[in-house]
Amino acid sequence: MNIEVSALTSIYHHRTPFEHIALDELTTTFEQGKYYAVIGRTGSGKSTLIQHLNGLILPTRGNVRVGDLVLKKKTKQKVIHQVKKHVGMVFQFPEHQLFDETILKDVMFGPLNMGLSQEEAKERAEKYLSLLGVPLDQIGRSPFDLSGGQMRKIAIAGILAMEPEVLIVDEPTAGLDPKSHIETMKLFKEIQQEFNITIILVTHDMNDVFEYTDEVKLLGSGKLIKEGRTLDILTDEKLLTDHYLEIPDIVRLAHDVSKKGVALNRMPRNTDEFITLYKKWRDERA
Amino acid sequence: MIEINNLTYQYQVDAAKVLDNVSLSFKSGDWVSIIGHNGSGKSTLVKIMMGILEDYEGEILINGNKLTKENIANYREKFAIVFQNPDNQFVGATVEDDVAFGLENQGVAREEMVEKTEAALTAVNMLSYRRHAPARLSGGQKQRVAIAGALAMAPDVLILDEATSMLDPEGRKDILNILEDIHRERQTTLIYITHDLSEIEKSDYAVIMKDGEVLNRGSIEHIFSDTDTLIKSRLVLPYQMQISRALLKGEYVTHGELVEKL
Repeated sequence: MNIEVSALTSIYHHRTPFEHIALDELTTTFEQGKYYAVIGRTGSGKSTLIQHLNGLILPTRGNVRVGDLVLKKKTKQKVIHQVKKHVGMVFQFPEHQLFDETILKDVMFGPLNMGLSQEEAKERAEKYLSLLGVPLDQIGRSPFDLSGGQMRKIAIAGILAMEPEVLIVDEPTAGLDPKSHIETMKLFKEIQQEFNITIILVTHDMNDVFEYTDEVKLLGSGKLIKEGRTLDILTDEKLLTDHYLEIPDIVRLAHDVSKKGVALNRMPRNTDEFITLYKKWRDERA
Repeated sequence: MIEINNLTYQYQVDAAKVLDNVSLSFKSGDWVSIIGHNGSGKSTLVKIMMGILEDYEGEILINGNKLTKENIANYREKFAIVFQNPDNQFVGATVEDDVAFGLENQGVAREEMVEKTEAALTAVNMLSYRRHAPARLSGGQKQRVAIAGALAMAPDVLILDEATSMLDPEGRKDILNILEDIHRERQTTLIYITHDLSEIEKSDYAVIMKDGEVLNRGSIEHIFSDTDTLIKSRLVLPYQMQISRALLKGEYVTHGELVEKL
């Protein structure tokens, strides 16, 4: 299922003195199964854009097409509810959304709410909990006895159990310590590959964007500035600097060493790849 | 000068020690980073220094005087702290009201209050936002206002408890630059708590904590020259140190030095 955004304009406090155009005639497509990053400076419109993708905000003008469902200015609640089944949203600190007395009940909540029977919901919950590596003999326990990282997994299982085709992930690593940061990013990559779902990541961390995503939508002042392969956009130092974004560490390093003659086979996506490619270059030269 | 001698703390009698025989000293005017993973004890240490937690074993000396329940109130105003979440620390309706709040509580005269507030806002490059509502600022701007509120009280020690961890890279850089200015111009002792090794480069001195113990301390060069301890402490090496470890025997390098040596 693709998401097509057509001439989407979003205005906060429309027709008041505080009127602010957050998105300005934005048109783009998110294709099924790809891992996208939406990037841009704070205030560029990226949070507004993703809130339109699952109907949290409705367009002022233009529309968002999620499969066959259309979101526009006066779309009814019933349609929005349908959209939410297809497009899941993981907010910052997803573990704060846990509430039920057992892990199983917490994960069953979403599917039950979608109208599945107790049995179907239980089946779904167990399926996704075990896929995320939660031992099934543990799921009668309270989710609040777990570590932060484990709680995050339970919360994400709860969203996956609704089997969305698209998962929106908004700044998932803000406030996490570096180890949990890496674990969380790896988890989303695994989810994308394992379930072939679309992931739309919103983040300021260009190292993560470069390492994990396939494609990038770069926003600036509510407009789509550029879209395309992550490898092309995140290696364009001038484009990133012009939009107040960081250059990924590894890109800066690869560019800097290439100026002094280190010719790596290809652009490394992370430090481990850099080390491997560098050793290969060094050995071949020797 | 702050001296911490053999500090041990547990939240409950039978619970594990959150701090285990920690001894540290902070010279006046130093910028010290305390680094550790979540649960390493770094925030507990700060809470004890701020007088928020009592009933610890060991002692804290401030300029040679032992901190006690009786005298902590005298020292508390010499310490200021900025926390992680920029949204949880505002009381004023405008930026300048907020920065003036502490001074107002102390009964500082109106003119002096305005002067100190303006100076503090200037130090964090936020004077032009003085009449704005804090709620409408970006995360980085909010933290700058929080720092101004702390500075207005002219503290001897400014503690930043993961004050940049919720900010975007731009906001993070701003804060570190402002701290550099404060460190240079005001001789305020800075205690910078973080779990991010890439943020400690500007400090004079760093302390590595794990499970309530101090595993290493010293200059930034010294800290980075022992990558084994950093890894053992569940910290993530900055990219240039990961590469140095694999290709240059782990010597401490900046980005520029790494490029030169490869």
